[in-house]
Parts: sequence; C-alpha cells; structure tokens
Amino acid sequence: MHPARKQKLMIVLFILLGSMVTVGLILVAFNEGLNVFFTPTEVAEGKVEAGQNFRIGGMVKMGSVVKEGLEGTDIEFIATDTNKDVSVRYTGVLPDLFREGQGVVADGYLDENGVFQATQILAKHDENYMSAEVKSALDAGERKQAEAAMAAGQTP
Amino acid sequence: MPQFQFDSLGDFLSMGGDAFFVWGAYAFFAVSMIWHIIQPGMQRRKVIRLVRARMQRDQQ
Amino acid sequence: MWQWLYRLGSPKLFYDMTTGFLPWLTIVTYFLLIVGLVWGLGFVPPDYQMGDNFRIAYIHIPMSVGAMGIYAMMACMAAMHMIWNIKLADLVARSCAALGATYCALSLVTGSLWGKPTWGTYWIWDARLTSMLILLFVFIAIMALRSAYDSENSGSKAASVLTLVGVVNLPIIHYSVVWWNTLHQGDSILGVSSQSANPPEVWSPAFFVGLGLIGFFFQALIRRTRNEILLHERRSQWVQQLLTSKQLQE
Repeated sequence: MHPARKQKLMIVLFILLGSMVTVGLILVAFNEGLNVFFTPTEVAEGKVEAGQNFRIGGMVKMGSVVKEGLEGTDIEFIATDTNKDVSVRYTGVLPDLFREGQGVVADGYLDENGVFQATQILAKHDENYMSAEVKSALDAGERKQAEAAMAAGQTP
Repeated sequence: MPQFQFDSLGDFLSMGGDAFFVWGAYAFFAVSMIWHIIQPGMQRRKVIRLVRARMQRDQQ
Repeated sequence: MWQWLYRLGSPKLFYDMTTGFLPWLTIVTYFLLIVGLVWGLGFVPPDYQMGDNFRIAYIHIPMSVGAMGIYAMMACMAAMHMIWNIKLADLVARSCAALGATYCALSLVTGSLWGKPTWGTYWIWDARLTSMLILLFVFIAIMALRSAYDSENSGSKAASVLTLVGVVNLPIIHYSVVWWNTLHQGDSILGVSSQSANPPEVWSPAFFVGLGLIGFFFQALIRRTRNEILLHERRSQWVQQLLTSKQLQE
C-alpha cells in the first residue's frame, strides 16, 4: 500500500480505537448507574438506603398477588429474583401485562418495614413471541419432560 | 397457509383494542417511507435544472 | 493492487450500472414490503400475552436492525473516503445519513408506541432506549456538521471523523440488554420448529419486511447518490452530454 494511504489507515484505526477506549472507560466508571433497576438480592445486600427513591425489578412471584381485603385499587405482591424476595405495595392502574410469573419493574422506595411502596408499576416483557396454541403446546411438552424426569428419578 | 386472524374488518381495524398504537406506528412508518420515495425525485429535478442552468450560462 | 477499488469508485460506472438495476430493485422491494406487512398485520396469530399490539414488532425490529446496519455501512464509506480518498464513498455516506436518521427515528417512535400498551410507559431511560436515542443524535450531528462547513471538502472530512467516532455506539446498543438490566427485552432467538418459542410463523413476516427495508434503503440510497453524482460531476463530459440529450427527463 502507498505510504500515505497507510498513514491514513492508521489514523482511522486510531480514531476507532481511541473512541472505544474512552467510551469503554466511561461505561466502566458509570456501570452501576446505567442499570435501570435493582434486583431484590441487591436490595437485601443493602445497596439502597431506606427512603431513597429507586426502581426494583424482578418477577411477580406465583400466587403472591393479593387484592382482596385491600382498599380500592390497592395491590400487594412479592417481587423475586428466585434468590431474595421483596414485598411491594401499590395503588393505581396496572399495565395489561402485569401477571404472576412475569417480569415487573416498580418505581418507589422502601419503607421502615422493608416493604417497597411503589408509585409506578411497569411490566417487563420477555423476548419470546408466540401464539396461545404454541404456548400451550410448549407447556404441555415441558410438563411431559418434567414427568419423565420425575419417573426416571424415582426408578433408578 | 396462514389464516386471516380477524373475524371482520371492524375487528381488524380495532386491533384488539390497541388500534391507536398499532395503526399509529404503521402511519408513522407509511408517512416516512412516502417522503423517502418522493424526496429523491424532487431533489433530482432540482439538480438537473441547476446543472442545465449552469451549462447554459457557461456557454454564453 | 488497489486499482480495482478506484475503478469501482468511478461515479460514471456507478451511475451507468444503477440505471438499469434500479427499477428491478424497486419492484422487488415493494413486493417484499407488501407481503411482509400484510402477513404481519393480518395473518399471524396474536401473541399469547400481548395480543395484537406485538404486530408493531414487524416494523420496529427491522427498523432498529436497519438503522444500525446503515450506520455500519456509512462508517465503512467514511473509512474508504478517508483512507483512499474515494469521492464516491463520500457521496454514498452523505446519502446514508438522512435514511439512517429516518430508520432510527422510526425505531424509536414505533418502540414508544409499543411500550405504552405493554410496559405501561412510552419512555424509560434504560440502556437500550438511551443508546438508540444517542444513535439518532449522532446521525443528525453528522448531517449538521457536514452542512456547517462552507468548504465541502472540510465538511466531508469532519463528517467522516465523527462517523468513525460514532461507531463505538453500535456494540453498546447491541450489548446494552446484556451488560445492564433494562426494561427492554433481550434479543429474540429465532425458533426453527413451530413448537418452539418465536416459531417461524411469527418471524417469517419480519424476515420479508427486513429484506424489503434493506431493498428500500438501497433504492433510496442509489437515487440520492445519483443526484449527488450529477451535482458533483457536473463539469465532467459525460454528465454534460447526458444533460444536453433530451432523453433525460427532469
């Protein structure tokens, strides 16, 4: 290659590398702050102070949603990351996709009892798209597999 | 063969209650695409007119 | 050794080759887009959770991938322009910017309109949405920087440098859903059987729309670049001949 072209190529590579390193360092420095929510485990580790406003993200624990015996649109549920649980209390309109076993992100603060008082609830959707038929077929397949595994485990 | 998933035209237009969001998204899409179909043609006319005018001026 | 590259970079060759190719590309593009969109809007069963609003994905996902692809192509052109000083590469890069900005803006708008009925909000400052918004700003900044210079050469050089710097954003957008927790879902893994998550019935229309949007990008890019060529090569003999012949309609 012509020496002048080679020099230009080096400049291009230098720009690419330079910007990568610079931005990479910035991202490493801000790493924690770029997360949009804390997990229940992080909350249990004491990464958030009581009373501080933050978002918590996890899954709505199966069978944990309570509406009965509460006033109006009040709702209580448990957000979990399977390791640790956090109780969440909320009053207001829920997004359509708020469901047990589905992802949830809540904005609010921890009160003195360790209950998360939510001011906004967002539903987190997973990356799987399918029709109701495919979903039920998949579930049936999983059940069969689980049963087969159980049967295999019981008769060694 | 894929089946049409809606019972009627009204059903199709209502998009299960999310008509505003679905048709809104498709409307933004359509308008932008149409603009990108029209714009290069207008640009071409402008460029040709400009270059022809310059050529004429240079000849004089 | 690099002679072929220069020959490929000849504006006249590009203009002549695209003249016959463009109508065919346009026809195929519209065919793919219409098939994909009609299929996605009417013929895919609704999602078991989101119902019908997931049909927005058929424009949202191809637009997002397209915006990043356009940026990558624009960066290659900027590098070619800087290293080999190929004029045509700069004209192509120039044409990429407006299209890239449109694809990126549409990705954001359709995503926002999809976020409201699913997540419960139009916008959240999570890593994926924010990095995509930055991509839109970079596209706009490149166009603005180019037009801010009086000298076209200086504008081209500045825009090329900024384009290369902005490449750093592409891996950030892609890995944002892996490196940080976000409200935005991760990237879907396409299923191959109809009994898997994301079965072919669901993603096939997106495949058509995706190809259609690639075709649309290239036909619009070619038309824009041909205009740029006519303007920038106006002193060359072949353009003058072309324009004096009455056949070339406005």
